[in-house]
Amino acid sequence: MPNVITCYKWVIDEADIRAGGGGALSFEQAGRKISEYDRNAIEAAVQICEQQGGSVTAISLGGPEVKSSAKDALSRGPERAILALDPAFANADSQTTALGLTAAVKLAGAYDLIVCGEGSGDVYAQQVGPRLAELLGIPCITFAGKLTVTATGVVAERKLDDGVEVVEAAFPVLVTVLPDVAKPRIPSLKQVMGAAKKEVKVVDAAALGLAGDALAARFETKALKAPASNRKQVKVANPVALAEAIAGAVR
Amino acid sequence: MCRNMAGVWVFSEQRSTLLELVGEGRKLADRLGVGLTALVPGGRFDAVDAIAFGADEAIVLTLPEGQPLETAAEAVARLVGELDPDLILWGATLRAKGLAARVAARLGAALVTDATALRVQPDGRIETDRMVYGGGGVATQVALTRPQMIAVPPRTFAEPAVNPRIGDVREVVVPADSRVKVTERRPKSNQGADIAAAGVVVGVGRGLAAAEDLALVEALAATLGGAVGCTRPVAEDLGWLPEDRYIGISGRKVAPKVYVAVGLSGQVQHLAGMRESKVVVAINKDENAPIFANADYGLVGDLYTVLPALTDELKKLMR
Ligand SMILES: Cc1cc2nc3c(=O)[nH]c(=O)nc-3n(C[C@H](O)[C@H](O)[C@H](O)COP(=O)(O)OP(=O)(O)OC[C@H]3O[C@@H](n4cnc5c(N)ncnc54)[C@H](O)[C@@H]3O)c2cc1C
Ligand SMILES: Nc1ncnc2c1ncn2[C@@H]1O[C@H](COP(=O)(O)O)[C@@H](O)[C@H]1O
Repeated sequence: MPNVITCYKWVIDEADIRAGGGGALSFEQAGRKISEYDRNAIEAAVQICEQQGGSVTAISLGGPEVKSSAKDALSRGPERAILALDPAFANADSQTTALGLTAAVKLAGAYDLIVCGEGSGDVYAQQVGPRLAELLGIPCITFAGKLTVTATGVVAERKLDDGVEVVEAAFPVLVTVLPDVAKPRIPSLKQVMGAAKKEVKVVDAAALGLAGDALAARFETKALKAPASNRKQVKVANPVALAEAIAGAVR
Repeated sequence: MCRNMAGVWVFSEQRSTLLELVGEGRKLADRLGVGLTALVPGGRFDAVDAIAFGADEAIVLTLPEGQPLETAAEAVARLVGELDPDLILWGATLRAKGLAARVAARLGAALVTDATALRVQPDGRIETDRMVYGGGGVATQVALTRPQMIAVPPRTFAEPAVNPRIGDVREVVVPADSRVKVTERRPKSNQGADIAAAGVVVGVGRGLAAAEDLALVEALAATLGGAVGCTRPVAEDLGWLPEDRYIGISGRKVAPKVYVAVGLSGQVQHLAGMRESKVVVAINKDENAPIFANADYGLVGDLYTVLPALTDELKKLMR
């Protein structure tokens, strides 16, 4: 019966971001959501434990706003959540995130498997999973499109640039998953109600033992802008007019 | 000649990407007045070629049978600790991105994944651009940690010309990690059209109702002498086209003369892969689909009636 941890990020919904004057990004109306592919990661973890027993702990790290993510995450099936919340974690880089998650994983107790998404919806750095594994000193299998759990470890099919690579690893192991690994469920009303009763542990940076260098900036961000786009945006009335436009452009 | 042989390092397990990075790395090393070292998991032949294309030296990383590339993390981190390079450029394949992240974690260093532009600053550090928010934003950053680590997608830099030098090749044997084992490798079969090379790309999305209906899209592409690409869900969830045909932030980047978007909504993650197209044309039945704000010519309509009429009309015009 595997004990599984799944890490999800509570991200700004990129569809709500507007480009303001001079290409500046406006986050004013932006809501938050569980990073799209992390929903697949949560689902994969939950399905494993539904089939084989064991329990799922969901962990997320971020600013205080991450608190409101617990209900959504827990309605998707995990038994408990650990939230690493601190103003210093808002916009944390991959290393600070991995350091904080490492400490949070240690709070979760014994585990066999950690499931992360392939990349987060906002920064899509594809780094936190491998960094976390390295800091925990456990093996890491990235970009798994299929994941099978055995009594002693996992078999994962990695989808890579040059084809498929099948990798076996013993517990404890961290796997980052592609969305094909499991389709996220739409939580039922009962699951949503049940989520409110589940255990949520909240810890801050100090409680996780993070200070100084661990939290220091590793990047200087010089600009954050919308990509330039100046399309004509001409609406044409029918396929004939469209054909003329295309033919003109191809020549 | 070189102040510090460990100056710029390049790493790629893919030969073509390695040579692209050697070409760019050579320019950066000359600019910074340091040496260029190639880290080569591909073997001795690639190492010799790296020197023939401009590296001062090469280090072959020999992996034991049945181990994934990422097993090299500890050995690479140790080399970095010993030799103290200023900058490491990684070929951003999926494997190498994972390896670079693990090396970075050991070093406590920042890593820029999928940089789209590199600019040398007066102080010798590199300013990078990369896409964030699914392609809805571009972040310009400079890493404050050492070494600077930047992963650059294959084909970002041109193939270099031969630039032969005399340099040492040495070997580092990577110890096996008994906890992981590769049990099978299934190379990708050659899946035909390279959409990145096509002058016209017709990109299709989930507006298509069935795999058979791809024939409509293919007929349009054939009329234009173009190739068919798609959105990520069409390849990944539906499996209607091979995965090397999907376009976007996590897929291929295309920049054809004309990109025709058919039945796709135009989410930022998709736009990130076709933004450089010269002319963008969109067909969608929803007049509010975001693709229209990112298109030069748009037609609101059902693709099932528009495509046959459009293909017929183009056949006449292209004759
Ligand atoms: C981390 C991350 C990375 C991603 N990477 C990529 C990527 O690289 N590439 C990518 O493409 N996506 C990527 N995505 C997914 C992306 O967010 C969108 O979900 C996806 O691009 C939507 O695909 P679509 O436009 O085909 O489908 P939909 O958004 O469902 O759009 C279908 C469109 O078809 C139209 N339509 C329906 N029927 C018809 C008809 N009969 N005639 C005309 N129009 C019709 C609809 O109006 C609608 O606009 C990524 C997502 C995440 C979270
Ligand atoms: N702040 C976070 N809290 C919890 N998990 C995270 C966080 N950031 C990233 N992750 C996990 O790491 C994966 C990769 O994220 P990234 O490296 O940001 O692309 C995500 O899919 C999550 O599973």
